[in-house]
Amino acid sequence: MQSMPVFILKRLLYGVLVLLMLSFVIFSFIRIIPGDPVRMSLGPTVSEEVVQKIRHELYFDRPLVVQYVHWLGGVILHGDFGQSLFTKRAVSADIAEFLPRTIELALFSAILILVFGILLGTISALFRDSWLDNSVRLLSYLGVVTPSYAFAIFFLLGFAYYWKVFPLGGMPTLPPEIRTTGMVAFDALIHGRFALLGNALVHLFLPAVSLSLGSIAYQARIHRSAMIDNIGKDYIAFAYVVGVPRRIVILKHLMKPSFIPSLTIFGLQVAALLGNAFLIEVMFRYPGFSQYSLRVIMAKDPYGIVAVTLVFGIVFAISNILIDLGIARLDPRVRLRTTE
Amino acid sequence: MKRLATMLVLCLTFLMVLGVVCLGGTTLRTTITATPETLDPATVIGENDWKVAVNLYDFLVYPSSEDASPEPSVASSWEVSDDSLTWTFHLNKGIKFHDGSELTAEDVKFSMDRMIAIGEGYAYFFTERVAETEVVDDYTVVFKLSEPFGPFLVTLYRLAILNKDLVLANLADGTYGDHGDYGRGYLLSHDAGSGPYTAVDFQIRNYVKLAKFSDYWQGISESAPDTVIATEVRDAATTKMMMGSGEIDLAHGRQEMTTLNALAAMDDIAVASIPEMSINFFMLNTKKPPTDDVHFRKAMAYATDYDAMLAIYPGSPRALGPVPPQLFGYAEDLTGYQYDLDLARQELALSPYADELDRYPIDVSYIQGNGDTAKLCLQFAANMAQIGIKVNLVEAPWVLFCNKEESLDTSPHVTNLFANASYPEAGAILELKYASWTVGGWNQNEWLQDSVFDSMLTEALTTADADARSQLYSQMQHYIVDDLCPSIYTFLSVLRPAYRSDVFRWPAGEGHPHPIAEFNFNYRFFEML
Repeated sequence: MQSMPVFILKRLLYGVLVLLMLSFVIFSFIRIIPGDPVRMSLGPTVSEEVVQKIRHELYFDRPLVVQYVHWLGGVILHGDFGQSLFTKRAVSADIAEFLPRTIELALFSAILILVFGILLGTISALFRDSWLDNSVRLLSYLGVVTPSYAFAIFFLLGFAYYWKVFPLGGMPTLPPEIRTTGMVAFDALIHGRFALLGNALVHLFLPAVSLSLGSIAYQARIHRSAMIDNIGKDYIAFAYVVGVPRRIVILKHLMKPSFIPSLTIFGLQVAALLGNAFLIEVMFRYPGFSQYSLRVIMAKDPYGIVAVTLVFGIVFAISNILIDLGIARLDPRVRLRTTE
Repeated sequence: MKRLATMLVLCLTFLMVLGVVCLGGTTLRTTITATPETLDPATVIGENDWKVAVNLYDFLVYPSSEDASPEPSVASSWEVSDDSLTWTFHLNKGIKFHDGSELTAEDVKFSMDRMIAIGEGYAYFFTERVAETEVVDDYTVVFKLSEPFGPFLVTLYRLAILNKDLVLANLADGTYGDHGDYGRGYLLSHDAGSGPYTAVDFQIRNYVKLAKFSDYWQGISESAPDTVIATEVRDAATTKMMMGSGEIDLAHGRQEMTTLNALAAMDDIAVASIPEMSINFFMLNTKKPPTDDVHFRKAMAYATDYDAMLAIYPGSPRALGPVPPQLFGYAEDLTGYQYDLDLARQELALSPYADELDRYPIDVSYIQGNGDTAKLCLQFAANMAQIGIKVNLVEAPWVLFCNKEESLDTSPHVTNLFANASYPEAGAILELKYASWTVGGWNQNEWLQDSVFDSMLTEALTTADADARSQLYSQMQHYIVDDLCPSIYTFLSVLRPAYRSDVFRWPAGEGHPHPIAEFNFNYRFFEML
């Protein structure tokens, strides 16, 4: 028998173990992949002596295990993820610079996915086989099969280029004196800089919508299926028979169990947003973490690659834990199992 | 009351508009393919880094806009000893750094010493050659060379002068002994220069914002932009939209042809043409069969349809040899190779591999996503097929491409790449491309390792007399092209930046590009309209 905190602790420990293994595997792969990252970073004309010096400083001339332990010590003791050969900065500084922007973009997208995905799925299920349902299903098909960059081009051309309702990408600068989280809109909000907040939201809108439309469509389809699955269950028929009002049946007895598969998919989609944001970030000139990740991978920047992999791993691990907690909250059977 | 409120709103609006008009100044909005990684000029060689550096820093000598020959800048004059080993520079007085302190000989010495100690960027010009830098007085500095170095003056275009006191005041822990990190951390995002612009805001992978330095010692025109914002934009669709909606005034010059054509078709958009010190090479491996045979290589050179290549990169001039024509020491009388299948077959017949071409298919490697070079390689393969040479095209990501070049065993028969001269003399590109000490890098798939060429190069680089050096460069080009044929030279790389001709004027737009591409982006010479 275990309590919920023990369950969470266990999940966290599993998460840490998985991340440690992941980081070691990535370290090993980087050592195996051909190509000297230091030489590539410095260029062919820099003397071998200087290249060796940098290799030594970055522990590339030590055995893999020694390098890994040194790196891990830096991460645990100082939050130091090593030096990026790509940006010439500390990787931790790069993460602090780029990650909050993408998290902010992902959060806005997540809100859109949750609100509109659930809303459309619910409407579609409640009005099953009506013109409304058919329209939502058709649109969600389109949404699922259309890549996010296609939406981005369409929105950029329509709303930014021709109608000039939104800016053509970019993101306002976050003044250093109000930097708290690194998320422009959020920091502007908590410091009462409402002009900056408005500006940031205007800049976030099109990228967030482009990024989320496909996921909204997918979320709507999953939620519709879950709802339809539950509508036919005996307990719903029983609720109607005993005279529970339709509003209560839908909100309490139908929505709650239908959220279980929806939430699982939602969590995974949100975690995947970080990686999927790459093209959107390029097209909207959004200086975020996805762009950074791809660049460090292409440049074979060892510490950068390990750090971005780890960040993605952490995001997925946290998402999974949150999903599990959410499902446990929604489903008493799961709650019961965790305490048995 | 309502009327009063209306009046108040009108007055406020008027004042705001007036404020914007009076205080706004002129802003040039430009794009770059990538922001610099650092504002430290001692550690960088990239085009984007130097586009910014030429605005932030000053140099002892400045390349002339006509032929890139050295003109006085921070140094008002200079002299060289008879043995060409001692170079004395006399500095102008009253040159101010951006913090208001004066630039002196100490700063020049510090900048040279720092560059050599760090050993990155263009330090290799000086590392083995500058034995000592001496400060004679505040306005006189002496460089003592360990051996004569003919192009020494023009390599000083890459010695940006740093504010010693500012850098030393911002040292962090590092591996350079008493100098800590030698200011590398500070210079990641701050400048320490005396140039016509100062960096006011820099966000890596986002933008860099420069502001006019009003105390610039050479003076700066009223009409030069007050602010320059260089934003990283690589996506073609975004570039077109931003240009079309007037959000940018100057797009970077590395657009693909379809994008460039779309930009050029827009109202008030002109396209400048800026030749780079760079040539597109098919690099033939001279140590691997069948490209180890000179007749085989010449057959390939004759079988290449140069006009078809130029059609892929329209507007780029044909290259006849390894040296871009705007460089000092370019051999004017070079004839190169022309597309002639008969001559190609004649050369091939002289090759020991002529009767067994099927046994020797050649690998042609190019970098994934490197402009239209894939099309060049396709064209090349089609040309080779005309004389019976089989080609395997190998597209490689940059990392793998570089890795293969590290050893002769893994180097392909042919690679396609642009190679750049780092200073405006033939010696720069001849050394990079063919010297024995530059093999194993991605710039030399030829693996030439030719002792005759090495001796000629060493002699040229250590010859102080310009005419004699030029003659030696010319002989080397003939030796390389006519005798050894280790590469196929297709065309000169040309930057094609699109810009709003109704917003500003600049020399490159008027048909007078600076011979060194990055120096075209010294915003001091821009005129806002």
